[in-house]
Order: sequence, then structure tokens, then C-alpha cells
Amino acid sequence: MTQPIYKSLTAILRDVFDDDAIVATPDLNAQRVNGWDSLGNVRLFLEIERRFSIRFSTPEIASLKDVGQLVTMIEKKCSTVTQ
Amino acid sequence: MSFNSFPSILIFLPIAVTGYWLLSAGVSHRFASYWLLTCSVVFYLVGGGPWSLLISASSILLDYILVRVIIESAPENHRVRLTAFIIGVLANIACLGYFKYTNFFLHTANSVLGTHLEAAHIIIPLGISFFVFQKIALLADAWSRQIQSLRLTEYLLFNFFFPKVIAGPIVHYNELVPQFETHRVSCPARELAIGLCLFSLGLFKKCVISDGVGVFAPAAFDFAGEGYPPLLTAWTSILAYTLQIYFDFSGYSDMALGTARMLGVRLPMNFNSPYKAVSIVDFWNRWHISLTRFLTAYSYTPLVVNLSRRRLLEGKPVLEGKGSALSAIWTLIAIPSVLTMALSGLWHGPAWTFVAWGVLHGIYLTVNQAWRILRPRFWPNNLVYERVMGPVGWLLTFLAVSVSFVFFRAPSLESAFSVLGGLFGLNGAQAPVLRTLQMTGADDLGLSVTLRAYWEAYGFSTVCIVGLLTVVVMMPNSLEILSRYQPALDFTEESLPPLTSKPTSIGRALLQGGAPLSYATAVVMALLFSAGFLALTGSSRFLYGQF
Repeated sequence: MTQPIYKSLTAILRDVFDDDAIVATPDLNAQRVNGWDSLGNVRLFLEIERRFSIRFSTPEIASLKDVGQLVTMIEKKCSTVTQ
Repeated sequence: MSFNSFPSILIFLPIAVTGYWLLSAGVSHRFASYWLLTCSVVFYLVGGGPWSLLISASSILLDYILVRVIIESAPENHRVRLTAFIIGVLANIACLGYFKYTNFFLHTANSVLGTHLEAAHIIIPLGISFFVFQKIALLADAWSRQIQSLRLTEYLLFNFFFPKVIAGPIVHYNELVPQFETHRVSCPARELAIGLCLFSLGLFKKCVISDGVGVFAPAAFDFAGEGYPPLLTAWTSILAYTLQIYFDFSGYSDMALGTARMLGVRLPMNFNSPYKAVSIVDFWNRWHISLTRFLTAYSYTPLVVNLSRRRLLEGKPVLEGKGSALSAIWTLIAIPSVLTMALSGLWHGPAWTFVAWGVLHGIYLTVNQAWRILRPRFWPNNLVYERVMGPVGWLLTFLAVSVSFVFFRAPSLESAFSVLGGLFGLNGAQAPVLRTLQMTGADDLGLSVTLRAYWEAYGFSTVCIVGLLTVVVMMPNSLEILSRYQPALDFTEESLPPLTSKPTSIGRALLQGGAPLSYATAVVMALLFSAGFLALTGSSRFLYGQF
């Protein structure tokens, strides 16, 4: 389940931050992506919500540490949706 | 009591730190915690007085009950949790509103409505702006189940912990309390040495540099009015203030981090070379970091998320990179940025000058964010853009920040606009004394008289400003100097923004990856401490301590 999420996230990150060099890895975080600031973070989450048909709470959006944590959150939400 | 005072440095700190380590090693960690709490309460009592302590303690104890209700209520008692959460947040806002803003509202009502309401005699509790925000963050963390348990001693210590009680950093419960609970420091002497290094750097910055350059700041503001200040006076004055507040807050932050570290506790990073920033967004990730984090989490992000969702429901466009519509930029960038920064301004002080400062930064952030999103449309080459905009972005950011400080420093909006007029040359170029000299035929008096007059008016201040600006931009900061000892909770070299992630070449050559705790470092730090101590006046307060 995890690999396809990373693949989708790479596409979303490239799209949102307009940079084709980005590759989603567990330790990738906002500091290492140009444009991933507080506004970029919201744009990223809204795009993930749209593509995965899930929804995040504001504290979840505001407290993101890295892509690894993001993937865990997506996985959890997707499994709740499919159950 | 402030860090930069004789009683604090000579009596309070040595007793608090020595007592803590002795109790921690000789009796038990629990007793050491009680000692730390007692010291913190004494520090607060001496600094703010009994009334201040009574109000803060009442508010803190009310939140203790509410947070426990939120944590201990079963998930099915959603209504109970929600009620406790809302009461807690409202009570904190009401507390801040009453003590800090009552007279501001009365004054505004009098001038707008023409009423004659008398100002109330209200004592503002010490550090209220900081501990109210901290408790709101605590309630939010409890609400989102990030806090599992709450013990009274640690909770009180979290609120009153003296290294951060005057002016932050604004910390989260989970950042600080685990350090109190599982305090197992292997080498107290090392912690003490690192803490003393930070403290010495901070004392020097505050007492020698900030207070020193600060003497040039009032020139433009004290007599601002019709036709004053002239261009050169306005610029020397505002640049001096820009440096004064930088070294004041940087010095305070170092001393706060240093004092905590003397007790083996790491506080989060609050200040990270903000004048090296190459954009306004970058600036706010480096200046008062803990406040930016709070406002981003509890004001900016909820605003952008909710406004975006509402637009999606209404079928309107949201932000879509370089193809974003102007209506989306207005609603999703301008409104949240200006509202959040106006709130930030008001938080700094109950005056319209602070609101104006906040709104100006909101406008700066809007322009910066809109440009970042739309720029690839007009300027697609990222590499060339970054090469050009590195220096240009730095200059624009520094000038924008300096100009904004006019509102931060001015006693009223009228004098702020006079100083702004001076900055843009509307009041002539030189000080009146030089103009008079010119009119009365300075040429006849000879070049040396004219040059001396210029030197006395602007020369020394300009040399100080240029020198300090070079230090600010080229030198590594305190965190970088001590980077190998993790001087702040979340400080690693990798955590710095990419464009300026490495210390400058001079800094790197000078330090080669951070200063070791060697004899040479000890001598340098002792010199800095001595210079700072000798410059102590006993009357200088932290600018940020007034918020």
C-alpha cells in the first residue's frame, strides 16, 4: 500500500511546488522543498484530499513533520474509508 | 526582575542554578523540580508583584481544571470536552482582552465616538501575552489528544518556568514537560558551560550592542512633526532602531535559552538571523519563530483551510500554482495574511501603531506569496531567478522590515507618518543644523568645519550601523556558533531554510562547524560576559519584555 502512496505523493508534490526534481521520501520535509511554507502546506493538503478523497483536520495540517508522517496519515484515513 | 539586572545575575541565578543541581544530585529529582518551581514563582513575584502573581495563578489554575476535563473525559462525552475547550479559550482571550486592551478600547471609543470615558487603572500581569498564547496552545494540544496526562507540579512549572516567563519563547507542553519529568543529565558542568556561553553572548548583545546603538534611534522619533525628520536623520534613526531591536530580541532569546540550559533544559529556537532573510516569508521563519508558529497553527492555517473549502463548495477556484485566479489570491492569500498579521500587531501592543505595523507586514506577505505563486508564469527559469533574487530579495526584505519598524517605534500614527515622510525625503535631506551652516556660508568657514559638522550629525552613527549590519549579515549566529551542542530544542544545521542554510564563508572559516568548549572559547565568552556586565545600567529593559 505504501509504495503507490509515495508515487502519488511525488506527482502531487511536483505539481503543487512546480518542481520536477522532487521525490517523495519518508524524511523529506518542508525545509527541503522550495515553496513548502505554511501556504504551500495548505495547498498540498487540499490537493491530497482531492486526489485521495479523504479529509484532514486543521491540527493535522498544521502539525505535519515530514512525508513519512504524511504517508502514515493517508494510509490510516484510506483504510478507514474503505472499511 | 530581568536577566539583565544585577540582582538576577549576582543573586538569583547563582542560587537557583546551584540549588537545582545540588538537590537533583543529592536529594531527588522531584525535590529539584519543587525548587525550580519555587524559584520561578519568586522570580515572577519580584518581577510582577503580588497582584500579577494572583491573577496569573488564578487563570493558570482554571486552565488546569479545564485541561484535565478535556484529557480525562471519555470520547463519547464530546460535548463536555468541547465546552471545557471553548470556556478555556474564551477565558484566556477575555483575560488578555481585559488586562491589556481595556484602555485601548476606551481611548479608541473616546476619539471615534467623542465620548469621555475615563481610563481604568489596570495592572497588566507580567508576561500575560506570552502565557495566554501558551495556554491556548495547551488547550488545543489537549483537545487534539496530544497530551495524555497532566501533573500539577510540572504544569505549574510549564507556566512559570522563569527562563521564558518574561518574553517567551512560546512553548508547547510536550516540548518542555518531558524534560522536567525525565531529567537525567549526565554532566551538569557541560550543560552549565553551554548555558553560560549562550547567556554571555546574549548579555553582550543586549547591554553593549543593543543599548549602545539604541542611543541613535530616538533622533527622528522624539521631535517628529511638521518638516522633521530630514532624510539622513530618518534613515540613521530607523536603521539604528532596526539594529537595536534585533540585538535586544536576539540577546533576550540567547539569555532565555542559556538560562534554561544552565538547568539542563532546551527551549525551542526563537530567533535565527532574521536579517539574513531573502524574503518576508523567510523573515517570519526566523524572527520570533515561536510566535510565527503559534499564529500559523491557530490563525493563518485555519483561515486558509476554511476559506479554501468554502470556495471549493461554491465551485470557485482555489490556489492552483502559477495559474491561480486573482479572486483566489485575494481571498486565500491577502485576507488570511492581513488578518493574522494585524492580530500579531495588536498582540505586540495595545496601540494603532502596532496594528499598522501588522497590517503592513500582512501586505508584504501577500505580495511575497502572490509573487511566489505567480512568478513562474512571468519568469520560468528557476536557476536564473534564484541567482538574481538572492541579493535583490535580501535588500528588499531588509528595507521593507526597516521601514515597518517606523510604526513599531513611533509613539503615535502622526509621528510615524512624519518619520515615513522623512525616509522618503519629504522633509529635506539634512539636519537643520547643517542646513543653517550651509545658508550662513559654510564654504567660507572651510571644508574641515563642514566635514566635522557632518561627522557629528551622522558620521559616528553611520559607522556603527554599517559595522553592525556587516556583523548581522556575515557572522554566524549564537545557535550556529554552538551548533554541535544542540543549543535549541529543534536546532540542527539541516533545519535551516535551503537558500541560507550554511553559515557564511567568514563564519565557516572562523568556526569550522561550531566552537568547541575549549579554554579559548571560555576566554572569549568571559570577555563578552565581562563587557556585558560592565555595561549593565540597571535601568535598561528588554524591548520585547514590554509586550
